[in-house]
Amino acid sequence: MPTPRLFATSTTPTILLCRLCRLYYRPLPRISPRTSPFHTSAHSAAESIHTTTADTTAAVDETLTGAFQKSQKRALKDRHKDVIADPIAPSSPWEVTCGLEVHAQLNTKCKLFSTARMSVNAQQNTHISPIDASLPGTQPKLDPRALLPALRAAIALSCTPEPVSRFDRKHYFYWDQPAGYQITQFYHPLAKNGVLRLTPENSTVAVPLEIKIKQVQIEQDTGKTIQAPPLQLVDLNRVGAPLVEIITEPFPLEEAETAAKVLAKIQEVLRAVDACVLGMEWGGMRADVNVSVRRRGDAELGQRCEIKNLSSFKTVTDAVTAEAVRQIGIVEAGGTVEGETRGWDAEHSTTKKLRMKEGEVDYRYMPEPDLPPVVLGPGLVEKVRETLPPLPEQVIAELTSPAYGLSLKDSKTMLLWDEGRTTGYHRVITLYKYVVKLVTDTLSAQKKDTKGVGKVVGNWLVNELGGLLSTRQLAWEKNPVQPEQLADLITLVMAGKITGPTGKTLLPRLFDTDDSPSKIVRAENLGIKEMSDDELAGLINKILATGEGQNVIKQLAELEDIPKNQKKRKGLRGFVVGKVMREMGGKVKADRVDAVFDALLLKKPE
Amino acid sequence: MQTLRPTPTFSFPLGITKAATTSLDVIKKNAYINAFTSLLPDEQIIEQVTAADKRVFNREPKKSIFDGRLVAIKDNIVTTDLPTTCGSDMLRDYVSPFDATVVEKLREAGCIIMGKTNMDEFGMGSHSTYSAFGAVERPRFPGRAALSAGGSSGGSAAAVVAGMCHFALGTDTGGSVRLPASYCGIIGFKPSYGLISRWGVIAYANSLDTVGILSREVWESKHIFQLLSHYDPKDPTSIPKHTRQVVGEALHHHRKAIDAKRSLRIGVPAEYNLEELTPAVRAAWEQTLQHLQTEGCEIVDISLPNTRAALAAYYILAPAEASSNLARYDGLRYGHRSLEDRSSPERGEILFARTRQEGFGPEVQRRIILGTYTLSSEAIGNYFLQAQRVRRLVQQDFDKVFALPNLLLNREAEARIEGVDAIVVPTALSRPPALQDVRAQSHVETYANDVFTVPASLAGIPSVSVPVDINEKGSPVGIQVITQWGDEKRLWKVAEMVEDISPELMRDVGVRENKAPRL
Repeated sequence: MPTPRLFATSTTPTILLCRLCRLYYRPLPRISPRTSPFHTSAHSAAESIHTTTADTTAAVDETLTGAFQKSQKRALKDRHKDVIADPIAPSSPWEVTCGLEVHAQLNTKCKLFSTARMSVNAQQNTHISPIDASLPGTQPKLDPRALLPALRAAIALSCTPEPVSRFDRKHYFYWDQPAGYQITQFYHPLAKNGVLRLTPENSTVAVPLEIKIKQVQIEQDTGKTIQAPPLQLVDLNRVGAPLVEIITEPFPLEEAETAAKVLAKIQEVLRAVDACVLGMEWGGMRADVNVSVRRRGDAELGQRCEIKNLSSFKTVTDAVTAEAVRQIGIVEAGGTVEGETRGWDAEHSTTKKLRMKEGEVDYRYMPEPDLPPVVLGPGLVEKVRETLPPLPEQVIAELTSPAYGLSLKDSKTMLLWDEGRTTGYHRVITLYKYVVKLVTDTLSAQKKDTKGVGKVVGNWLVNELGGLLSTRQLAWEKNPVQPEQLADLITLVMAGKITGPTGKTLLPRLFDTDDSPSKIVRAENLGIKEMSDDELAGLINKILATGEGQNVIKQLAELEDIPKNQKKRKGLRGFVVGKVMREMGGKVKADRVDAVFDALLLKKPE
Repeated sequence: MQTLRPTPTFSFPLGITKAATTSLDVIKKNAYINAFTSLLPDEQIIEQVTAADKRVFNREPKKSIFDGRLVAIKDNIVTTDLPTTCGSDMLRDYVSPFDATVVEKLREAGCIIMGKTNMDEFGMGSHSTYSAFGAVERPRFPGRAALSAGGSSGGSAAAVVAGMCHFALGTDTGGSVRLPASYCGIIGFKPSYGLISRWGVIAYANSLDTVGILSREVWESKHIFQLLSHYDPKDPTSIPKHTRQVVGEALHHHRKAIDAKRSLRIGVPAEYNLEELTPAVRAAWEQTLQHLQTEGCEIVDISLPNTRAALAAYYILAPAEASSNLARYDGLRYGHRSLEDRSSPERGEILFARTRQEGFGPEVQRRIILGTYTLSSEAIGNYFLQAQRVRRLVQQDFDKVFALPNLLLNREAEARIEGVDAIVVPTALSRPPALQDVRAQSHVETYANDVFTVPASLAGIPSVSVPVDINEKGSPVGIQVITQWGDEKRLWKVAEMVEDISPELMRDVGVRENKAPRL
């Protein structure tokens, strides 16, 4: 057997490893790869693959590119998931603690201190006022409208708004920071001492979690750097965009995803109360994460490291995990963790040092001399509290309560369609509640039973209308069916005026007409046909008289006494009932046909 | 060397065209003064003056009493037609896309913004010698030593006293209008903080910066102040209309009540009688107080105990704010950019150190470093925060001696009849020093020049410097009048009394023959 070339020629072990595997070697320099506690058989498998395929040069090349490597990566990635979660699992002797600093863009029309309009995808450097570009002689002027979404966020996170808050300057030089400082709230933030509760019901956490919110503050955003090698271009459109910064107290990680789940919950809350519109996926939210480790039972928290500027839930999970592994590795090897600021290196799936604590930027916080303090007027906080849109869990609780009786799944689907926002026109949930009200009112007026209206309407909305919209690739805002039309349709069905199948065929037609379903039903005579049992029996007998019908009867007779074959019997009967229904154009109810058929069968002499 | 010709200029009897052409003539013949960093071309000035003259000829209503008059603007107030350099290489070619609010107001009043005046770089200095455009020299008769024009608004003061313009705007952060006015023998006025808009004024230390007025007569400053003192929504520190009205009415009410009971009371703080005070200044101060007494004022000894500490506090606070305000000059969007910063990305991070090193002069760098230090986490408690406390004490010192309350801090406060209506003190320690001596001074010695002007700046209260004792060499002494916040009315009254002391000596400055008639 030829020498395994990859082993022989490589001088550093990292070359042997795929990118993900390198993670293990860095934090544990003193432990040999083979004896590493994290190094499981998955890796040996990978090694053997490397070795065996290294027999020929051609094969080696193939392993480095192409589908083979891809599949191998996937396999390893899956392994990694298990392995990585290890240090954070409750069984681990280590406790990982995490603190979040979340920056989210407030939902405003204008920038925080200038009249330039906010923009997401405008041409670069077109939304800039002299203030944003920090031209000499300009002064910031607070747009008080930005306070409302910030206050909504603070109150939704159960924070106490401060009657007086102030702005401060945080100094550092960077090309996307035109003034050389950021205006933020350091000494006197907008609100303090909040709490965020995660439960298995409202989040996917295993056990309930209570995250303390230290403070909520308003600040301005920086510009964007656009890489255009060899140049770095700066886009100032985002400069001065209003941000809300939410700082949590440190909390223990139950699992690797906890930090991301907390972040997702914060995003959910901010979106629900209309404080922020853009989520992480659109760059509307970023987070700095502080990570520290300590042995379970230790009183003191370990030295923390800050990982800057994480912009997706996945990178938060990955970075927290990698950083925990790194710190545990250092401590296990007898070292001490240095306080430092780190960045996430997505390419190598590691955190990397940005600067040491000694080299830490001294932000030289100074009160902003041009901006007066923010004094909240009497009654403002109460007003915001009263008009605060409900939180997602409150909406779900309402929808799944007996009043509506929706399933959890349907409730969540609707909330998802509303992008987590719980108020405003053009929301699916608003539409749903309106239709439920219309249907209930009409049915009560007709002295009909209104039980189960919520569920029925939900069904029509989520499955039928939702399905039609999605096949036609229409967004909910573009839904052409009027709520009154939908309510009318559902009322017709529930009142027994038309059959379900008729309703289903009517629904798509409402996409192109403003006519009410009642009108269509009248005009085209689609209502349920009032047939006597005899008429129906005649119809059934006609079908049974055909060759297929005879066959069914024969088979039914054979199955008569075997209880096991209930299912098949049902199928056979269904065939007949279906035939009748088709004959009638869906204008009779299936259960009536069934009943008549039953009676017919009983009567029939064998 | 061209010297100033003692020509009669700017009195109102002179037509506005004649006044303007004379001014342009003076500018050309006195290049040594170095009062301007940029000037509007002559033909553009004449064109605007002629237009104003036509308005007079056609008996159209005047835009203001200053319609058609030439105005010089300190070069840290932005203008769209002329560069705004702050006397710095950093902004040598910078032209603002907008006019400062005060410039807009002057244009509306028919004033002709004829040029931008030289200054200490970014306002940092007391003699207008730290300029990238060279030092300003005080106008002088032939054969006499070159004197300091004061700073940092030295260019504005020199232009006014030489007759190059009708009046000028400066900025006063710690005395930058009053000190040059004192050295040049003219009126230098610093308003209450928040009354004149700072939109378009390039910040040195925002919490202290004010737009000041330099004129030949007190009544002119008064009128210009009325023209400029308006609420400006663009300036977040501008006092809103409602507050102006409420405070104005309350002050008026208090003043009336006091005047009904007693004559004017002038305070003389013991702490201003410093050892360093030159005999000439002390004599002029005494002479002024005697004059006020003969005019019927009561002279009262008062105490402002934190005066000494005020200077130290000022030199902590102003550089701290400056280090922050000047952080924006990185050469990326405007202003000077070092070729080295532009061309060497291989140095790793593209930073701005070189740009800032080349663009800022030594005094600016010194104050940026000082300010950066006093804001650093290790020093902020001992320096910046401490200085803020001192500032508060200084302001309380004033509130304790004035009869009128500080209504900005407390609307409900009552007047104290036993208090004083105005404080009268010298503006500077000496007559204008020779430029030669100034250059020999250490930096700290130069800083000591601001000892009398800084307290009013820290307290945000109005103050005006009036020339009183102009000696045979044309060298004046400036006397300051200080009143409570918003009490400009009393300020003008006392200033006009001080101004009346030695009108015949004013001629010795060499540039003015006729005293303008009161309108």
